[in-house]
Amino acid sequence: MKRFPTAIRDLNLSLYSPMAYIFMVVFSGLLLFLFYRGFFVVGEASMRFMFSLLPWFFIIFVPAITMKSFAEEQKTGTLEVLLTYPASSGKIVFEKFLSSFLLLCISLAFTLIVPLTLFIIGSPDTGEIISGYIGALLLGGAYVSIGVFASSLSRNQVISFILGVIFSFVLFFLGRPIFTMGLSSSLASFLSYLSLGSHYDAMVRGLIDTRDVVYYISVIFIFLYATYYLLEKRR
Amino acid sequence: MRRVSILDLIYFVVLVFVINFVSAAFYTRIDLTENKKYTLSNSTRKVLKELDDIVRIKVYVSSKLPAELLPIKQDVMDILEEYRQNSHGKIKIEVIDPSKSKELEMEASASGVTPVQMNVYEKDQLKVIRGYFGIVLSYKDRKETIPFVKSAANLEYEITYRLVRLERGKNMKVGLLFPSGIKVNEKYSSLMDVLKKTYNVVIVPDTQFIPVDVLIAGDIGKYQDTTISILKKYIEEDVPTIIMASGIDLPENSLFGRTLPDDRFSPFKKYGFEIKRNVVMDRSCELAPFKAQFFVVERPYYPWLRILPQNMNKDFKSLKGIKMLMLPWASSVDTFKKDNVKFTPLFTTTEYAWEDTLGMILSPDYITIPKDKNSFKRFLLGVNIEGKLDNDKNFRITVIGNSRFVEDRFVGVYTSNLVFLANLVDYYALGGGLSDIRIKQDLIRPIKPLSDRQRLLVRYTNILGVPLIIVLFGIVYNIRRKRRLLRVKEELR
Repeated sequence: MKRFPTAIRDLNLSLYSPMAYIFMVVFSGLLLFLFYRGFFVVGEASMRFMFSLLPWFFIIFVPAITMKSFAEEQKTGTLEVLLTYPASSGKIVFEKFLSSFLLLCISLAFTLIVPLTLFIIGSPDTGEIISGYIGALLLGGAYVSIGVFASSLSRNQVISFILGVIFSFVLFFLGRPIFTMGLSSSLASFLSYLSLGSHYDAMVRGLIDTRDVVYYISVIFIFLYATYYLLEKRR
Repeated sequence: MRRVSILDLIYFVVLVFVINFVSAAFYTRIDLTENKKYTLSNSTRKVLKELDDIVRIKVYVSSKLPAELLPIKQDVMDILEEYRQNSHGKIKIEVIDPSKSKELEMEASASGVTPVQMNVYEKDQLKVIRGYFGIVLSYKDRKETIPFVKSAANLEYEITYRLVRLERGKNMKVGLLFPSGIKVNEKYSSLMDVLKKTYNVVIVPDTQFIPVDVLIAGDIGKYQDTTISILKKYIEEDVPTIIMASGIDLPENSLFGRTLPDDRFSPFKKYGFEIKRNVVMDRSCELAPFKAQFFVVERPYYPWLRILPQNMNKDFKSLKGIKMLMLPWASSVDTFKKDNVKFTPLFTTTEYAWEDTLGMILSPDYITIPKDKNSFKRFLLGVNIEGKLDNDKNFRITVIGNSRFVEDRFVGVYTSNLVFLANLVDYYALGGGLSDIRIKQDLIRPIKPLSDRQRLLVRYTNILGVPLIIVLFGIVYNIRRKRRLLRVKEELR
C-alpha cells in the first residue's frame, strides 16, 4: 500500500473525520434495520434481500464518500499542488478511486455480522453469500468510479454529490422494465446491458458470469479514464 | 508528453465496447451456489450423453416482448447454450420469430406453441399483442413442446425430462393405489400436481390391475383382501412400488389411534419387511399447533418426527440435498434377512426415540418422555428393498412407515417431503432419476425455530451492535492517531 500514498492519506483523512463514521453508522444501521424488519416473517437464512437493498443505499452513500475526492482539492486549491507531484494523472485518479473504494469495503465489512448470524441460526448458502459480496464490491466499484468522475466535474461538493447520485441512479435504472417499457426490444436489450442493475441480479443469485465482471470493470475504467481526461485538461 | 484528447477518450470507450462484445461471445459462468442451481446437473449431462441422435431445439420467440420477459429470455438462451455445449454436437438450437410470417406462425402453432396475449407499452399507449415464447424439442420423429416459458427457474427440469421422454418414446405412467373411501384427488392434490408435470398419473382402482410404470401404494393396512392381492401382483410383476403406510389408524382430526389388524401386513413378510403396529416418537420432533383455551399454541409434539440429514442415507440419490423430512404419526419398519434380497436403509429416528404400541392416546398432554433409558432406541422408518422372489422374479419396493407426510396439509409447510417422494418416483421411472435437478427447486433454507426473546436478541445485536462497533472502531482509530501525533511531537522537541 506504500505505493499508493495519496490513497492512504485520503483514507486516513476520512477515518479521522467523524463524517465517515456518521455515514457508516447510518448506512449499516438503516440497512440492517430494513433487512431484519421482515426477516423473521420470511424465516429464511438468506441474504438476498439485503443484497437487493444495497444498490439503493450505494446510490446515496457512495457519492457521499466520493464527493470530496476532487471537488475539495479544487476548492482549496490543493489540486494544483497534487498535479505538481511526480505522479501521473492516471495514478492520482486511481488513488482517489482506491481510497473511496477502500472506505466502501470497510463499510461493507461491517455487514459481515449478517452472514455470521445466519450461520448461527440456520444454514445459508455460502456460495450465494460470497457471490453476493463479489457483486456488491463490483457494483460499489462502479459507483465509486462514477462518483470520482462526478467529483472532478465541479469544485462544489454538493453539486458533485448530486451529479454522482443522478449518474448512478440513471445508470442503475437504465435497463429496468419501468425504464425500457415502450422501447423496441433491441434498444431495451441494449439499455439492459448498459444498466448497472441487470448485471448485479445474477451475482446476488450466486452466479458469477464473466460478462458481468467484464462489464463492471469496463464501467470502472471508462469513468476513471474520463476523470483522467478531465484532469489532464487542467494540467 | 502528448496530451489526452477527446478522440483518445472516444477510442477508449469504443475499445471497451469491443472488449464487452467479445466477452459476450466467449464467456464462462461460475456457479457458486451449494446445489449448483445454475449449472447443468449430472442427470442432465448423463441424459445428453446417452442421446444417439440429433435433438433440434426451436425457440419460438417474438421480437417484441414485454420488458419483464427480456431477462428471462436471456436466461433461457444461456441455459440452452449450456445444453448445446454439453451435448457433444447432439443439440442444435434455432431461434425463430413466428411473427415474421404467416408460415412461421402456422409452424409454431402446429408444434403446440400458441401465442399469448401480452401487454406492450408503445408510443405512450398500452397495446395488447400476440407474443410467442415457446420451445419445441424434436428427436427422430418425436416432438415435445413447452408452449410458453414463464420462468427460467424450472427450465432445466422441464427440458431434461422432455429429453428423457423423447428418448424413451413414451409417457411414463404412475399409479396411485389407495384403499376405497380415500379421496386421493383431495387429500394428495399437491403430490398429484407435482407428478403430473412429468408423468401420466392414474388412480388405480382397488379391485383392478392396470399397467403402470411406478406404483405408489398408500395406507395398505386398510386394504381389502382383493387390493392386497392386486398390490402383490404389482410387486411380483416387477413394477417399482412405493409403499407408504402406518401400522395404526388415526382418524382425521382425532388424537385417539388404534392398531390395524396384523393380517393386513403379514402378507408382505415374504418380501422381507413388516410395518410395525406402533407409533414412533422422538425427542427430535416438530412443533404442532394445539388449541388452548383462547389461543392456538405451538408445542413440541413427539409423534411429528423431524428427520435430519444425519439420520438419512446420503448415498441414496433421492435423499441427496434433502434438508429435513417430517413424518407425522409414523410406524417403524422391520426387515428380515433373506437370500437374494438387498436392504438399503433410507432414514431412521434419532437414538432418543421410543414407541407406543398400547395406549394410542396421542394428545400432547398424555405423551411423556420415558424415564427408563432402555426405552430409547433408533427406529427404521424407510427402507429400499430390491431382490429376487423364490420364482426368480425381481422386485423393487420402497417402504415408508407413513403415508400422511405427503398429504396436502403437511407438504405446504414441509415441501421437502414432496420433493423426496417425487425424487423417489423419478428414481424408479427414469432409471436413476432427475433428483439432483428437482432438489435445486427446493430452495428454502429455513432458520432454526427461535423464541421471541432470541429473535429480539438477534435483531438488536445486529441493528445496534454494528453501529456500536463502528463507533468503537472510530474511537480506537483516533486515539491511536493522537498517540502517534504526541509521539512525533515529543520526538521533535
